[in-house]
Amino acid sequence: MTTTRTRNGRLGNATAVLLVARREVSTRLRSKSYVLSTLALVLVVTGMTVGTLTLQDERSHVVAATDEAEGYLEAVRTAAQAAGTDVTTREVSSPSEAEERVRDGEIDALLTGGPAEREVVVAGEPAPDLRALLDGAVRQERLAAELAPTDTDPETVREVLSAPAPTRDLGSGGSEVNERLVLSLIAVGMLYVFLVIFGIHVAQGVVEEKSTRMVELLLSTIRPWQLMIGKVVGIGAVGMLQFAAIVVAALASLAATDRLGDVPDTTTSVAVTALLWFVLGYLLFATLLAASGALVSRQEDVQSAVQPALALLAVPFVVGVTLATRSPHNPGTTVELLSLVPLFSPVLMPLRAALGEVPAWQHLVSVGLTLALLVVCVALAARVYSNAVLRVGGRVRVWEALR
Amino acid sequence: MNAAALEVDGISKRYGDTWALRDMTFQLDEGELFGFVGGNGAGKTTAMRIILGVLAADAGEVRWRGERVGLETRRRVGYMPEERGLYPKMRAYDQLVYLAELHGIGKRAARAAAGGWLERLGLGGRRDDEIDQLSLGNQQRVQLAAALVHDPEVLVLDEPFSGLDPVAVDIMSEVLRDKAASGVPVLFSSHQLDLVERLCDRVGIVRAGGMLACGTVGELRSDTVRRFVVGLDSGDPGWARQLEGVTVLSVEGGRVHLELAEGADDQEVLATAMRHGPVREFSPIRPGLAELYRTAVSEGEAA
Repeated sequence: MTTTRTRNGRLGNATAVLLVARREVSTRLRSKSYVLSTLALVLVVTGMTVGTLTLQDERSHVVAATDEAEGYLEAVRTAAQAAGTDVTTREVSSPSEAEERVRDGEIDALLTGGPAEREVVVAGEPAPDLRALLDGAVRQERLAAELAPTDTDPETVREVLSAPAPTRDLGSGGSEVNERLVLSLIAVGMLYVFLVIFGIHVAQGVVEEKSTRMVELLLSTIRPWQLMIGKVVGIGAVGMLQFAAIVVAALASLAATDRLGDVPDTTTSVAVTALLWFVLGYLLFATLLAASGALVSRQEDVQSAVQPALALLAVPFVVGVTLATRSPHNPGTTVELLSLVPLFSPVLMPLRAALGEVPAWQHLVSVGLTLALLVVCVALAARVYSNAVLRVGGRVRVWEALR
Repeated sequence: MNAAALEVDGISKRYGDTWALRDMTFQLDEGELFGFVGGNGAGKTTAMRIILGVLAADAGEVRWRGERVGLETRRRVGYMPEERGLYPKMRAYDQLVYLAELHGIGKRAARAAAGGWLERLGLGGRRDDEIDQLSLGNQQRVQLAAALVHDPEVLVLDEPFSGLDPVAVDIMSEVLRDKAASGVPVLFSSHQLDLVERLCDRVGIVRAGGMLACGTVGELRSDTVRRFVVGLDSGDPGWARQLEGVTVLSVEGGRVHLELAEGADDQEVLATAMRHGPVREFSPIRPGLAELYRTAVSEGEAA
């Protein structure tokens, strides 16, 4: 049992790590800056989701028809469906009242008159897609009327006219890939921002303990690696919580506006891959940043101390995103190979997963290699941390700390 | 068993070409108050850090009740580092509970101990204050509570008295005495030599990484030459100059300060003095720790 604590002061590894992690979580959750930044992020995400949806709603055209023109609405509805234009139809009884509503912008187009004297009442030039739709519907009706004296069945004519052109789908590409690309870039971008923000929190936390000399008290009872891992895990949990708050806010605002069904099916698998790589990438960079932080004694020096570790994160990000977006339809072998390289995997794997299928073996290889590097990094970082964390004053050189 | 509770056996630590500690050896018995004195950079802090395992020694070892000290035994030590270390943005009470739990105390016991020590050190009303909202003296009290909260079996305190007001010095002294009385060996360093002399059972004088002298103040005194002051009506110290093994240090009015070499008989000095007139004063001069320290350090320098 790892949680056993006896009177003579035995403390399991897991208990020590958990105690450190718990303190990180409880003090950070209580800090004003964390609460405020989480609230701000939730508000921004909710605002963006709801805002985008409301903008889309405005593209739904309201078409109304008076009693004589009622039959016309059916044609408009069919045409709208075929064209993929969002149209809401309404019937009105009083033409004069309806015209008033057109002027108010409540109705985009009002159809009046019998078959002979069709008229479209608008206020200002209607949207091009609505214009095309109405014209098409009117043209169709006129054509049917012209053909009526002949033997042709008007229904058949209408059907023939409204049937879409035969189409052959060549599979993924075009707009679908673009949609996925946007989605994956959002995922990877968020991943990057979170890694940097919470990684730097780790480095600052290490320096805080060093500059307040708290570390001396802590190391008299727990081992350096326990302290380091506990800190990394605790801050990671706080980061995940913020991440989760944002996802929940986005999903909740989608649900509230009844648009949950519009989320592309691929999102779930992309999210799972992104989450996995968020955890792995975070552990990898956070340990490196913890070791970097241990090299300096003052908060002012944190920025310069973490530069090398941040470069290890930034270079794969820039290179990865550039290569992957150059030809999103066909990422190519370079991207595939690079995505298996540990430091590149956290960026490229979620990107690839979002853009298309990734073979299972490649998932396994990349996770395996990253885990192997993680073990090495934790060992090296713990060594640097142990050797450097008690040295106050100037900056400790990495090689000195590794000896 | 007569073995010392805490044995520091020949520990050495080197930084590059300089020895921070060189073969330092001393022991603490159960319930003993041991004062560590020495100049800045003499090696006191390094020695304490090695005892706490915060620093690794290059040579030598530290034993607790005959066993080499490891992480588990270190958890039973209460430590107060020289440079105070507490989280500035964490509440005093939370901080103490956390430290107690890190020392392997269960949550409930940790809470009771944290509350109890804050109460005892006069901080009952400030338990929910963050450390950086407290005055320096109060921060120091929390720091002491941090060393005591896990009911340690040994106390190692680096400069516990520095920066304390007189009331806090009294509280601190009382706590240390109480702890020692309950059988806990207490090792602390200080520059306030009068305090060390008053409080400690034994004293260790440290210089250049080594133990220069170690023992009770009485023992340290017996190592030094004996001095006397003799008060006569006449101010002429000529009588004393004739005596063998006696040096006249100074003359102030009728009072003559003498130093007796080994083997010189103080009764003979008194008898000679009485032959020269009525003796108004004859008393040994007992050097305080401060003087013993200065003597020891200057002798060490000469050696």
